[in-house]
Amino acid sequence: MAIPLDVFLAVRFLREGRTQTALIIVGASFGVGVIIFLSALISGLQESLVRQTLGTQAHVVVRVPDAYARSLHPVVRGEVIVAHVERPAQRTRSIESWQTRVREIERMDGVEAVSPTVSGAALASRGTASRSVTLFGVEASRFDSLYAIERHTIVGRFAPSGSDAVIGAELASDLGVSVGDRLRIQAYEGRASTFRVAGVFDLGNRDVNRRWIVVSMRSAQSLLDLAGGVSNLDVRVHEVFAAESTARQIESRTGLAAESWMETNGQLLIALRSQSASSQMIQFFVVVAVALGIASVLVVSVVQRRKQIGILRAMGAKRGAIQRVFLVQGAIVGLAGSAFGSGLGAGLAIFFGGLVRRADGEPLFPMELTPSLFVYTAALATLVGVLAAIAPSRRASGLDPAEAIRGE
Amino acid sequence: MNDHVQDDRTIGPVLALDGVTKEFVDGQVVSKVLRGITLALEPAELVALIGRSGSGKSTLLNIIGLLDAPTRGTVRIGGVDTTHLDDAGRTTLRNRTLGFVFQSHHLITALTAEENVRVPLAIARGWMSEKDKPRARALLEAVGLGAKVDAPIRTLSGGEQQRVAVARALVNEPRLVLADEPTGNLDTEAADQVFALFRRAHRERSMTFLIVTHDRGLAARCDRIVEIVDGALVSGERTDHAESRG
Repeated sequence: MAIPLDVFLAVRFLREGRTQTALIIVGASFGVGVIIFLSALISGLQESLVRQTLGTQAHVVVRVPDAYARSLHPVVRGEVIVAHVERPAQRTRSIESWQTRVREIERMDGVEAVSPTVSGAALASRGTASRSVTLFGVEASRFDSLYAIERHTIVGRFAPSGSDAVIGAELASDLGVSVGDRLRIQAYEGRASTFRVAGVFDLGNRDVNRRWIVVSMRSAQSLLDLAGGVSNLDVRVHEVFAAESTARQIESRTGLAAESWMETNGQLLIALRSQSASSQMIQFFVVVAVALGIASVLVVSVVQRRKQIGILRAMGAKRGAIQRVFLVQGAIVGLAGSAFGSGLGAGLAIFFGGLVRRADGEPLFPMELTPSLFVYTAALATLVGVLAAIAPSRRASGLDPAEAIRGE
Repeated sequence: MNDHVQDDRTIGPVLALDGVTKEFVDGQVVSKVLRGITLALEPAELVALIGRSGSGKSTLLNIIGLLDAPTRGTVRIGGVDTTHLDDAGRTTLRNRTLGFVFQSHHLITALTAEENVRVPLAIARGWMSEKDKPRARALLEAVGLGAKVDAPIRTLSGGEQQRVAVARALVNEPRLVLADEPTGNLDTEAADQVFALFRRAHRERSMTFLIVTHDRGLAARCDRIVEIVDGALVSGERTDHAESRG
């Protein structure tokens, strides 16, 4: 068996300086552990926050662009017109050829599902109780692929067809209805109809549970005076943070207005980005601390082995070979640190993840441990180890062999 | 670059110094350590270099070992003029042609005796190979350390460590072995063992040895004694031992 000389010497040097090596590997392990724990925590919290926010929101909503008033006065160069143009009231309009648009958007990269929806404000009442609601007319399977209502249906079933409606749990409670009961829905334009409650859902969002009523598309079209049309196309994408670029793509291809969840939740996005930035800053300082630790141990090793490096050079070892001996040591320390640190970080994440739970049984600190996190951290730790070893390795390879052997 | 450092044992002297001068400049002060040294070592010679401390022996050895460059003059090793070799060329020539034994043996303490001996071979090819083990073990046997081939360096006595260093210097059969006070730290018995090894390698493998020593007794056992005084060679007499060999 043959081993590259630089790797052989690197391993032996590390093995000889057991205590130093152990200490720096422990240091690197703690660094990697902190990075993994922190990343898992921040990703978990963000994922939970985004999931909760987007659980009841389309990632992209496509609508007919807003109507605007156009000046009838021709624009003459050099002429200044002082005018006050009033913005016209926006009424619900149908998307033209919406079936074609649905197919077109479905074929786009990154799009997971599209749900054509007729939506508008309405009043739901039973007896003397009435509530202001948002009415959704949907194709059940498509709508369910976005909001998973069937999975969250707590009574009855999710079957908005004919004169059957599915309503939120809070609304059912407010109106005092349950499966099989009837309620009246009146659109603000004046049309009204009576529906039977087929199911009650709980999407985990009080406001949604209080306001949503889902009926068949045809019923909603009739109530909202949008015969054969849909008011919006709700889009779900594979990668939530790519929603904005998907929205822009939809706009440029269809000419319709597309609004991503990132636009409608600007503050949330800023909060998420601030959180990520804080996490990255902490990781940066941890990486710097680990790098300095590795570098200082290797510098000490170079000083201690000065004469041995000198004799290696005298025997014909080239500068590059000496440099690699120390770079490999850095890489080994980084790799070992990432191996132990991964275990430490995962252990901490699992421990804290299961430590405290919310009332609904979900962990208070949701952790997201993914294989890519471990691969990324291992690669980062190894790279940091190699980078940290650059200065010591240059110092070692730059030693004058005659001076090193003399011990000057 | 490697074309310039081809090892050709058929061409001329193993070592040829011509007018080698070494000066160290410290501000306005110029110290002349070596003054125009001219010296040739023929193949299979065992030469002692003697001189007082500070006479320039170590500087000369460093220049011959391509660890330092002369201020003026030329150094030819195995027929190769080293004047214009760059660092990589000098390094390659050192590995192929020269062996080193130092007073403080400078073994690699992280390795065993046998691994230390294999290092020059590993440097030449870039790999630490199991194939070199028999050769390293045979050399350690030859220096009387057959029972300690796997011993960590730190567990060996000073004499044993020096014998490992000798085995290491001989393993790639260099044409010229440079030994700086190789017996300086050894008792008489260990010193005799080391010298016997030199003599054996010299006889069996036709290696050339240049041994720096303070020990006149040791020098007298070499083929030739070269004395350096204040940076200049003052004598290069052949010993009785050389005559008896001839």
